[in-house]
Amino acid sequence: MYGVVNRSLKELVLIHHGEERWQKVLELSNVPGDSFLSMQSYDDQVTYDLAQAVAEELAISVDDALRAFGVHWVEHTMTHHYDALARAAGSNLLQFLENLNVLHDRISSTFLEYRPPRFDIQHLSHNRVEVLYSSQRVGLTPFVEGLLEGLSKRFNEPIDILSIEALPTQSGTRSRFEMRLIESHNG
Amino acid sequence: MANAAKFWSELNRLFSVVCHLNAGGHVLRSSGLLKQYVGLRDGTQQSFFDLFEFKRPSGFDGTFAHASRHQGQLFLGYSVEHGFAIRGQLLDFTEQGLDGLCFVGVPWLWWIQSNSPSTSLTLADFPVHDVQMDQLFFMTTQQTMVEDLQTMNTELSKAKQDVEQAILARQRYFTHLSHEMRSPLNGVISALTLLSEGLVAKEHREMLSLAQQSAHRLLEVVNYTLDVASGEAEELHDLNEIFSLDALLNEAVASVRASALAKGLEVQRCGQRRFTSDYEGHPRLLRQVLSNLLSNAVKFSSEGTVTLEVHIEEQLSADDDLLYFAVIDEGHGIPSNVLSKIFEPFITGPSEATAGERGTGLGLSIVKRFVDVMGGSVKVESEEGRGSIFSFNIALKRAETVSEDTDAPCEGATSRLLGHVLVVDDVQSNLMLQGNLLQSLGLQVTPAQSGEEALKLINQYLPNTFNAVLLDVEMPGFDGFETCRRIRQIEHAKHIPIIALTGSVGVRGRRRIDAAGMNGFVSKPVIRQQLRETLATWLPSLGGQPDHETRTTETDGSELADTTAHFDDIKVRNLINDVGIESCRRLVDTFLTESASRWDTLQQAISEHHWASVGREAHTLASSCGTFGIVLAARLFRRIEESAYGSSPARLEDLNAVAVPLGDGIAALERLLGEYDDG
Repeated sequence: MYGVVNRSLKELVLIHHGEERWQKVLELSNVPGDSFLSMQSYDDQVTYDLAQAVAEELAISVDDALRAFGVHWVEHTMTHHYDALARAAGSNLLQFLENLNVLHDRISSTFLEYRPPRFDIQHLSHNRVEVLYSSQRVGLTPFVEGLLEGLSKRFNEPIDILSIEALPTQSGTRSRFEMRLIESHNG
Repeated sequence: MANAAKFWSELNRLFSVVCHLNAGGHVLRSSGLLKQYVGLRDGTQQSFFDLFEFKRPSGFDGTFAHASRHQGQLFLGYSVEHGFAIRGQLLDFTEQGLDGLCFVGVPWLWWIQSNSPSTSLTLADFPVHDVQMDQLFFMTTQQTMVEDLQTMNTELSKAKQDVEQAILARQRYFTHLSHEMRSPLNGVISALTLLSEGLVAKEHREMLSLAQQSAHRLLEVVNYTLDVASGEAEELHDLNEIFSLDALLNEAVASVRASALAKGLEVQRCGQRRFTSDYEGHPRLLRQVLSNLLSNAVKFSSEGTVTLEVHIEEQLSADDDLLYFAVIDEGHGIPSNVLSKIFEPFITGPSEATAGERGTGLGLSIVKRFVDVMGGSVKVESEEGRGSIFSFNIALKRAETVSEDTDAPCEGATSRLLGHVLVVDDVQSNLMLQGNLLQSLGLQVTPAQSGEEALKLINQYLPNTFNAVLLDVEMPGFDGFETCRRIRQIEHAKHIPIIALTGSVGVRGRRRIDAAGMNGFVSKPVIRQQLRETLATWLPSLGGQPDHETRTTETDGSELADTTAHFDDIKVRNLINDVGIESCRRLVDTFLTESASRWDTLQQAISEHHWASVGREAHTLASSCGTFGIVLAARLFRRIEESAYGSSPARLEDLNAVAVPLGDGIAALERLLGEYDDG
């Protein structure tokens, strides 16, 4: 994964728990250093080790750690570092989700080692949506759950994730999210 | 028409900004984006070229005729009013059924980003083949990378700073530790020396000798540890300084002169006598290297001459010289089996002749380390029984021209004075200092700690025993003036030269000195050159040769001390030149002991308003501090002294204000002494 992911994970711990806890995370992870360059490609194992160490240090499950990371990715990393692109990807939740593959296509043309996930959106009814998440990587479904929560907050469009189903696949991950769009009384 | 409609539809799939213009440049129909952002309506008589300002093509005048001549070229147009901009080209699709011209393109993303950030375009507003969004992402990530690198740079700088501070802290620790270890060791060595000078049984004498050798070796190891630590710090910090090479070479020679003379050896300097320039480099390291090599040469020689030869080997550039340094002795030499590893730590040259002089073998290791740091390489040539030559070349940058260079033959010891001097001072450290200075000038010395004791000695000794009296004017009991008057009353001492030692040499002070019948004065703190010049008026010199050490640091204008500084290291270096480092260390120890005691006395005198005592103690402390270069504290003590005789007497706060500068000065003094440790 690109260093931006590891940087974001570090930021998450620093912002919510401080430098001392991050140093403990780093020590637990056995990752040799924490000066990640955003667009340098790092072994996926570095990210997995860090996530595992975060869970251990904060005494939470790895899934909870990844969920929190997904929320942080949208709220902090995307908003602070890639806001112009995020805005170009859409001005509401569904538009954003539907444009994600296009965005990833464009990124792939510049970053040759980029292996983005795929999101297929299907409208089940006027307020029910299916998100089919496919990735060459494993174990990141809770991260996607956090992303959906973060996007829901970003666009102020409350959602209720009704189910998350792991679909059979030969490699990587395929997960099916079914979510309900809760109509906002404000709008 | 069906074909034209289909073609129009295809154009809109390929481009997000499409506009069909008639032969007058009016809009026939346009794509959704133009309708949304610029308000175009199909079939109206709106002029397309009036809607936008065109940055490209260059010189475009906004007419259809001109535009049609630029078909196929890049058009960049913007509308400040609508916060929108386009990029694309004009093409002729008459054959496809679209009469006139068509503008096909996309939103001009960079103009919109820069000038109208509120215009929110989405990915869908750009066809997939357009790379502007890709570029935006790429540039965003590059910006992030720059920020990452800046962050990393800051982190690395801080880490470097932390490491440097840790090394400095370690160096300070080693300095402190070394001093703490050295002080008791010196005590042990002194005690052993005193013991060995007394009546000791033969079997005990051997044990004493063993204890003395062991203590000396332990001291060398302590010094080595300190040197390694300080050398590493200097290498790390690349501590280049501008220095006078002449002064440094004189210092190096002076540092071994006393021990050489004690062994009957001649020490000389040859090669280039004066250098045209000061140099920029590592004077502390160079001084240590030469000092180690010279002291080794003295240590391992029983006869002959120890020579320090220095000359410019080559002018490397307009600013850089390659200098050759060599220390040559005619001593015992180094056995061939040891020669190849002589610079390794703990390697010594075993030899029966030098059995009593063997060290720890650390001095040459330091020499190699330091020469390496200075970018040179030390080498040795030696033959057992025929002496040794240690030499190295280092490149030094010239700093500034100071004088013409002069090649000179090798020159040796200074001219010496003849005579016996009675030196009188109530302050023990001053007494020791003056005694050492006088001895270094070749004079015999008898000390007295008061005017009364001086009078007693002059009465006791035979007439003409003393050829001069050096007399402190500020003493308890009989002060210098009273003592002088009484000396003049002794028949055989009526004409003895009496030189006043005084811190105050104003007009009034000189009148008092003349009125008391004294022959001259030397101001405190005492400088060897001044002392010599004053005494030379009355005392004969050996051989009458000129003093070859005329260019000592105190006479070198380029190295005058900064009078605003807290510590005047030049003064102390001159003192070390004059009396040698070991004597200087003893003087400092005595000074520290005395000043602590006098501080208490002064404090009590101020509390009890004993102003005469305040003046005397403050005077003594000011004088002692001045001797050891602790200038700021000296100045503050002087103020207290003056206040004791004035209308607004000193308070304890005034004394407390001296504590910090005094402490800083003592610390600086000890650091400087640390530089002179033997390898």
